[in-house]
Amino acid sequence: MKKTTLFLASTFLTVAGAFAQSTFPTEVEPDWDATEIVMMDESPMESQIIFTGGVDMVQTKSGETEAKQWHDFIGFTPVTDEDCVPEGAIGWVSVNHEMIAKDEKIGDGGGMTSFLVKRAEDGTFEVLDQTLSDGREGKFFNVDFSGVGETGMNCGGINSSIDGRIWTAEEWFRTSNESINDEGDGVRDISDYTIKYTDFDFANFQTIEKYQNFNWMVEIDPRNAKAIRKQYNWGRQGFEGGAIAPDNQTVYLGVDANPTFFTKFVADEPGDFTKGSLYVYKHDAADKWIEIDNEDFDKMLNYQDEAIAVNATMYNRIEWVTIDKNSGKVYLTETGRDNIGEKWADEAAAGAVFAPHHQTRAESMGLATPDATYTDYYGRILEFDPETNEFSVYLAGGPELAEENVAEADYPDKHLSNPDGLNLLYLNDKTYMLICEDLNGTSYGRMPAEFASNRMCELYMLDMSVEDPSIDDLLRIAQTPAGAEITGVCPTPDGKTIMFNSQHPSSDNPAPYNNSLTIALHGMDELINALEVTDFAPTNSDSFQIYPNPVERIVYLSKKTDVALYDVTGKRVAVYRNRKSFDVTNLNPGVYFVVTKDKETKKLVIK
Amino acid sequence: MKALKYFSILTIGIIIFSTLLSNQKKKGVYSEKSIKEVNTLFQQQISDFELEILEFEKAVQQNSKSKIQESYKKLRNTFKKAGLYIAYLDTEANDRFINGAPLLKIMKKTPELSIVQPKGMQVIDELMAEDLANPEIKKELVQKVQLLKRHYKDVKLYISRLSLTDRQVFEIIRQEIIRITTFGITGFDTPGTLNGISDSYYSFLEMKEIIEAYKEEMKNVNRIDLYKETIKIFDEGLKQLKHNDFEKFDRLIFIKKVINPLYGNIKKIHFALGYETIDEVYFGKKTTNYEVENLFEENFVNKEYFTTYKKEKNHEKVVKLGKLLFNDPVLSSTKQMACVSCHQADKAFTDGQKTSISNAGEFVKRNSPTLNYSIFATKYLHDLRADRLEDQYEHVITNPDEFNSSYQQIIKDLQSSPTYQKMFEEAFEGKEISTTTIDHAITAFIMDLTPFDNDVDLYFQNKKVVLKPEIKRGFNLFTGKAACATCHFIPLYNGTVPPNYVDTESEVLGVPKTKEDQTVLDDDLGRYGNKRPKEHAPHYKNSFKTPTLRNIANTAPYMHNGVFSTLEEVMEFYNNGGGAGQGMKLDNQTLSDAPLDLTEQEISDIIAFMKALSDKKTFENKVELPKDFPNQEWNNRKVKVDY
Repeated sequence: MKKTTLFLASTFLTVAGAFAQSTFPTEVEPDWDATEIVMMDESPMESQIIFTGGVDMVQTKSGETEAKQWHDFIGFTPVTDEDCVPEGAIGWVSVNHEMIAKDEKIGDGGGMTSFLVKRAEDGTFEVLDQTLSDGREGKFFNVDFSGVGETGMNCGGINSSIDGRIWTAEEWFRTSNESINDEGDGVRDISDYTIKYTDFDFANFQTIEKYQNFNWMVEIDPRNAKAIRKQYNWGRQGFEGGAIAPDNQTVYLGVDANPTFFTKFVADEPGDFTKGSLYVYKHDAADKWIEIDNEDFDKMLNYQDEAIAVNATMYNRIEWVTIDKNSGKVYLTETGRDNIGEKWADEAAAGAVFAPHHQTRAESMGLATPDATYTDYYGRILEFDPETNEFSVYLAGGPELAEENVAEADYPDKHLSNPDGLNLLYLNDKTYMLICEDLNGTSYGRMPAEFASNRMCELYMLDMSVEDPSIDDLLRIAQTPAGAEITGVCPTPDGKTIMFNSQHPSSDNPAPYNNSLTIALHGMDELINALEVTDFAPTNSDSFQIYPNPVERIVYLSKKTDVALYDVTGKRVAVYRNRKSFDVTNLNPGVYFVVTKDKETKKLVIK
Repeated sequence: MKALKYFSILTIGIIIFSTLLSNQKKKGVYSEKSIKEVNTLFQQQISDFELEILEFEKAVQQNSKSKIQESYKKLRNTFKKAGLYIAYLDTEANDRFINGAPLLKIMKKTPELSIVQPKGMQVIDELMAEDLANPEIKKELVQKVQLLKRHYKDVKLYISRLSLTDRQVFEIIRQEIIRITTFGITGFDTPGTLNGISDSYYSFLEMKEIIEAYKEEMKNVNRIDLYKETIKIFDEGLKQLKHNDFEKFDRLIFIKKVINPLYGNIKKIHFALGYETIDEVYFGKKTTNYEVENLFEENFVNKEYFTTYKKEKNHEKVVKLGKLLFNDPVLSSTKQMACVSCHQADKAFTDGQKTSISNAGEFVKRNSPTLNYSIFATKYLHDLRADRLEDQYEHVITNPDEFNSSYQQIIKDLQSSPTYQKMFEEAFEGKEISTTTIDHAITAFIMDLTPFDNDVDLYFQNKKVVLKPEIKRGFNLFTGKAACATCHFIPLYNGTVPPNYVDTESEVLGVPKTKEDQTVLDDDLGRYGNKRPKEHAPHYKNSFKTPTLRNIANTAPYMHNGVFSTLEEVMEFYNNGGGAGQGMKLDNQTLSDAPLDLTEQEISDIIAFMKALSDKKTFENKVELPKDFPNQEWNNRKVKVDY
């Protein structure tokens, strides 16, 4: 009888054990020897904070003071043979400050900071001491805008890939002096401004209200930390980005507005942007580019009205613009705005026309046109071919509602929506696109349900030799802490380093948490070389395999499944459901067991 | 005998074998079935809601008031069965289009200041309380219903393609329990019809049905007892919610007997079944601690979410240093002013002044807010111009009327004291005196000022059995008829919005300049003047942060300008419908201008309840200030109190 009881008891025990509901028990006893080991190496990239707003001291014409915050655009101007600079210096970095605030020393409004860097032996940057032509000495220099009637809300800009010339974009469109004055805390001098001694005869001796002297593209000289000119001949708009074509004559301009009208300027002579013609794009016109008289100052002040009057094509908030110097193709981020249909209604009624890809989207949503109910949550990257003068969608943000792909592929680890900053990096005869995400919201899957209350933004890289790229082809380079925003991505011409800003970072961020940071990420060349020899994208196979990518800190799986991670003590620490990849950014280095719901196991070592 | 014995063993063997087989079979089927069943239910509810919107759209086009009301009733009931999924799966869209508060909002990330009109069920509920015979009201209602239909189409398209996991199911229920407590039974969700009790009944039905799907799984893990206990609590809740009487509903008993036990039990079920929790899925900071079982416990809302400071093993040393800095006038340029000047421990860290006193002995613009529980916010200062405690200090430090100094100066001064140097080094393990370490020390001190030990807390934590009847009545009025809890959300009694706790609200109350003439608005523009370009919106004129009411007995005088000196005066102001209710010209008041019609007895009950929100634990200011500064004068420094 005793034996029987024992037999019964043990049977029940096994049965009870087998009936635990979760596929992944909270504790297991891992088999240490039987499992294959896979290593997740340390990232080959090294990050370095090179410029901190509010902490680093900048040199102004009235002495030294803390740098402004709200870093946005970054430009890089390579040193040339004519430059007289310390040995090893490679170029000037210029950083925008997107704000309007009073400042006794820096000057009211926004501004820029420029500095000269050298690459040290270990590959990192060193900010060099300089003495400027106006006598200022130090490392960081406030760009002096006093000669052009001040500046404000310096958001994006243009960085010529030909010679590194820099323009800063005065973005947030202002319609009154009150809005720039901000009850005395913004631009304090709001007396009328008379334009004088510029290269533009049509603008000289025009007296305008102070706010009208904002929202131009402004060229600056990073070497002397001084503004050169406001481009009164490019129209007054809420500029965000732009690009200079390889001919050094054509400029494509991005404007963050609802709607955006796509604009180009063609200089009469290469390199001289003070004379030339201005055009707005109209996709359904015979010539596609319609000239706007840019020697008529009234038309330049009211550019938007002129664009509407010629029934130009409307886009949904174009942010950054960049040009592939080899193919000549133009890439633009159309970041999107949720309720864009409402915003276009007036302009559409006045004759402006919808871009074809918005018409197509609207039809797929069951609308006749992108009317007042039309929405655009995710944004996209557009490609413009100057040879055909046609646009196409290069990379759609998503998970697009009209498709069935919401839980497919690498979502949610990769979730690009509302692209903003855009740049190109050239290395080994290949072109890589760098894309900054700046989410407009978290709804409709822009942030996966797990993270809904915490908006994060990512920096991605795309190998442009991939045909018909999708979000799955993106390589994640960096991720900001909750609440922060990655802006201004800018590669150095040697392809070794990319720089970007982390704007208004919040919680979770390493100190100095409450300052805007300019970060340099070194080792891009090594990373790209590594990518050439290793294929991180797993092929479908019957046996379970894992492929850790040390740069992205993402582990890819050979099939879509549920996995649990157990630590060395056998405690369950992470569970990922219905996924083809998982993110290990927040896991401590160490040894983990990766177990699938079918009990396939791999040992993962995270370094 | 022998044969019989073998027979019985054999029989038992067969029984066991067959049980095993059937259980094996069940295991395969059932472990899939719970979540499968829940997903079927979820899909059903979100589709039903869409159908009811269409029905309601038809109904509002008709002229029969009773038909509209009948259809609205059905719409609400269906919504309550779908709303918990929608709010969880797409919080932002829910807030913008489906069930956000009927207030103007600012759209984020637009190239211009963009103010959006409220939309969704709460706006519709307000209209349902109006005269439906009025063609204007009718027209607006039709328009709002059509907007709801349009926006819900997008929301549904997205969420219908998601498939819930077990973890999410339990999170959905626990979030809904918080929502019922803070938005449902308080009337927040139904600002017009006050249908919150009936609403909650339907939410309960849905939650119960979800849990019923787990019956077999609970059997399989031998916890049918826990399952049955939970169903019993659901039934008790349904019984209490059955009578849709907004004023008579006993919220205190409901929270004590139903809400808190249920919130705990859902977690216990989740853990018993061994499914992963959010802590194994998302590794960033979370606003609530999943393992906490009671809404009134100290760690229910996660303090660490709100700060960049991270509690580590040296926490006590950091707090000690923070307390010292808090009390040390060496931080100010006059060496006579410290944080404590305006935040005194015996007054719940306020100063008892109408508005605080500057370094020159003058009154500053605003009243000193309490620091107890101030950690639970994502916006700071009365005008909401800072996002975190750490960002707020700078405003005091650089203000010419206050510390009139800079971080650079403070760092330099502190570095000259060996005691301070040593304390920073020990507290922050070798990190130097910097903006960050100073901020973190003060924050560490402030975040610990949250004992959660007042009478009402203790009652809900089951550490105290009896509450005085007037406190009980006061609680029920506060969360019911007097509508206080629709802005001062329980259990924090502040404006940090549940159940996600990521936004801190401000309100326009029409606070008068003087209490003698309550038709004249105080000229402080509040949030409108906070210098954040994207908050420069007319609806933020005279809008101020909603503070916590914890320790309110100790924080007089009240309001941003300290205009009211007693709680009686405050209650009278609210009872009259704020400024607008008393004839003040103010078109953007967010407080209803209708009188609350509270009797004297009711007012005194609410005050009795508010007085019961005083912490038992006391704090004191006493510190030993370091006296090893090379500047001898500083070593005799004292906080100046006599102006």
